[in-house]
Amino acid sequence: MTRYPLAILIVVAIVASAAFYLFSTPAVDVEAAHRFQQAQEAFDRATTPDEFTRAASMYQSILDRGVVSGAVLYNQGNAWMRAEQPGRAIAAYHQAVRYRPDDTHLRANLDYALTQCGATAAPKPFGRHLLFWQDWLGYSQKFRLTGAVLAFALLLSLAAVWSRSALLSRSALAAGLLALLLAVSTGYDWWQFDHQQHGVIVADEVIARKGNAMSYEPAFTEPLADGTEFTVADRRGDWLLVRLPGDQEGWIQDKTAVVF
Amino acid sequence: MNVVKKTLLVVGLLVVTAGAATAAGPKPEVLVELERSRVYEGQPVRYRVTLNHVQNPVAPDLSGLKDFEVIPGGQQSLNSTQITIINGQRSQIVRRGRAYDYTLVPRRAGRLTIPGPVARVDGQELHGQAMTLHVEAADRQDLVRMEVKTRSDAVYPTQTFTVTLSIAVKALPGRLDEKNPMAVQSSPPKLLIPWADDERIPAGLEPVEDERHWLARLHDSDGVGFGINNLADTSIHSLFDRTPLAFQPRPQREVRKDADGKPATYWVYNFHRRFRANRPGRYTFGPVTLQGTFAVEQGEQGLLGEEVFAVARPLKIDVKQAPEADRPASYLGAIGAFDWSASLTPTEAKVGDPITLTLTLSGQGSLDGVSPPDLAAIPEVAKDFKTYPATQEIKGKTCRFTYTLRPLRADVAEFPPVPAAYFDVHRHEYVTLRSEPIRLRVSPADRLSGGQIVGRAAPTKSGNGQTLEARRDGIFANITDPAEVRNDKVNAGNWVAVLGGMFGLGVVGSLAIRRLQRRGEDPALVRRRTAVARARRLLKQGAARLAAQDTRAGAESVRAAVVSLVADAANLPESGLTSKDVCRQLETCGVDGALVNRVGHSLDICDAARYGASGGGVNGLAHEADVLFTDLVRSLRRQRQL
Repeated sequence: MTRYPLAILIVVAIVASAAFYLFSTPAVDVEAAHRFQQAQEAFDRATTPDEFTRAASMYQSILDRGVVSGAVLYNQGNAWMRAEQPGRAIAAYHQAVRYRPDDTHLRANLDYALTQCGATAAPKPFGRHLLFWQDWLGYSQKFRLTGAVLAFALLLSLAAVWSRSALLSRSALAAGLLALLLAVSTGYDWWQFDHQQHGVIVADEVIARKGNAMSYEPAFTEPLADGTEFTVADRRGDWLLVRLPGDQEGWIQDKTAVVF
Repeated sequence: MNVVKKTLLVVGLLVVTAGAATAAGPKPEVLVELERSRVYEGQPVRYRVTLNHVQNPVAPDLSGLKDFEVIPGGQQSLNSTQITIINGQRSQIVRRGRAYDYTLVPRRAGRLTIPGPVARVDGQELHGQAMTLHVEAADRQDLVRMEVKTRSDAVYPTQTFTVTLSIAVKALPGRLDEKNPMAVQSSPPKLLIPWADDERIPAGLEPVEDERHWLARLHDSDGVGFGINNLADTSIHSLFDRTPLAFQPRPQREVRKDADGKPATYWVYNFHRRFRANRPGRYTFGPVTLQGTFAVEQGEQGLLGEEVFAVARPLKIDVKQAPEADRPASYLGAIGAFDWSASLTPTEAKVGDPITLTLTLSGQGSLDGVSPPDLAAIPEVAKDFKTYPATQEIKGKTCRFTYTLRPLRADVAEFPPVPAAYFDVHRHEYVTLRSEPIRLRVSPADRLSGGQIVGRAAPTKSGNGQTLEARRDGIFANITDPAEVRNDKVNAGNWVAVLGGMFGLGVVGSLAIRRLQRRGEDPALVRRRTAVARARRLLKQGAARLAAQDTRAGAESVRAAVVSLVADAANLPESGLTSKDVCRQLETCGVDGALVNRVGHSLDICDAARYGASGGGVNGLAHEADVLFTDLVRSLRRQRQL
């Protein structure tokens, strides 16, 4: 054991996994940051809903470059709110929450937008109650952390095999279990965010229908209001089969909603 | 020219005709249908009103039907589009309309007129056709008497009540009066009991026992009793011949006065069914009709019967709202017996931070019409917190209200109790519950300074008088730091590949380490690995001794060096190896014959020197052994023996 001091092995594993986390953290996108500042200037100058809509479009141009940023989505949500389009704001805030789950201002703004719409927040799925720590980290952070913890667990395993230390073996097992837990958590987020499609109604009153054409009867007794959240169950042409939190389903035209 | 004029005339006529047809279109109309034209008093009859060729139909007005109780029976869309293509000619028939179904229960006998229904379509009144219904009075007979009754005709939501259909059947004539009158029926008399069908029970009521279990208890396997709602046996034995099922409760015998005022024996059958009220309202049970043949006298050929149609008048039950008298301001609208609790997340916040308050009402009772408490109206809450409207979620017997709050001051130490009142149906009074106070730590806000707060001046240095109140509604400010603009886009496929690759590397690394460790632990491998060094050490030792003229010891060390090299390479015991054994082993290892002979020769010289046979042969032994050793090691390595 004197040939392989435990402390050195553990320090090496920690440094290597931390390096993995840091190197996998994305750098600031210079072009996106430039556009971000321009959009912010437009936002600051805006006084009318139309001008705020233009600011929201400028934020959208950043997203259209393939940059997915919680900060951009948050600001875009604020712009939509000022543009008096709470449905679009809710959609933006919901996407931002994926990357900034611990941002209390973002949560407050989302709650405010929902309140403005008279909408109620969709009930938390059972899986999120089970994985209660889901909101502690952002979506991409979870992937990075899973990778770092897995690297740490593997390095500890190698050290344990090399040194035949029972302490290292137990530590590697614990780290491996943590990596597994994080992998489940990350996989759940992937299923929620990438596998499932979510959406928000962005028109004043949308009549959901029993089929994918205007000739079908309304599916519900009331039209769907701006800000109503749903998941997309199916898509045919420019029609979406939407599933509401109570599991009711109806078809709407995709132009009446934002899907993310 | 004449032909041209005729052609133009024909074309013009066609255009005008087509235009007129298009402009006219099918006219909206109201059609009425009645199931039958003759019924008994109290006997329900189905009535359908169809609004035809109407784009946006609304339910017709039937308020003119004073002689009938009108029970809505649902509606059905008649919208349809039929497209036909024959020989390339496409024709389309579009129908728009809606049919409204009702059940009419005549309130009196006679020739009753059903006034035409009135429908309002696009601001225009449409009238349907009036119809006539002959309603015959129920027979004035004393063979069967029916009544729908209950002990209490007014209850509160969550309370249960029993509706009883009591059927009194006159005892059989003569000596048969001891016999159950239902036992002599050729087929069970038909009872139509609306509340025996679960699907016809109003939404605000709920049977305590479902229809299947309730009827199963009343079912008579011998076929004695009453048929209910035309239920029939659908078992394999009666696949083609449906046998009506018979139901009867245990009958009781009573003496009542007959139509002539004389005492007569009746068999009384009481059908009890228990319901639970869920929602306030007025609910009707009935009417119930009975149609069948009942014995009136004993003839020579047997019993003689008489056809009877009897009606039991409907019963109305009021499910009452909680009383308005003494209703507390904190009444939520719940009726029953409940628990009330509150939770706050987080319990540490800064001034202005949003915190979530969840109030939970759970227990047994009706949650219909429950509304969230108005926190802004509670002074203890309003003075310390900015409140926002609640969201409400009802799951099973639990109602959860979720509020967003923002503390207004840093000296707030707890969230105060929230009162909630419900109506207790057992105690017939309102019960007010209070949630437990929740400890809360509020620290001053980071972002707000006096200058930033809108609407009030900053406090004076003396600190007297002015209290700043922060405006908490609206949205928080944008993020302005460009360093926050990182591309958090996740490519899950790449990540899976990276994590999988890392895992694979880890497994391969572990296997490699294990392999190395196994090699380190193999004694044969260890001997081979250390063979050259050890032999070289002995050789050096021998050379030194030879140089010191210690011929015997020097020759012994040189021999030991060669023998140990071969023994370690072949993993053989070193002791007892003769020169011949060494040469044989080298040949086995594939070492060149000349080199083997050189080795044999050197070992012979060493042996001779060791045993004192000759001292002259050792001259130059050290040098020769060194060269030989180098050649031998090279050869053994070539043969992968080292």
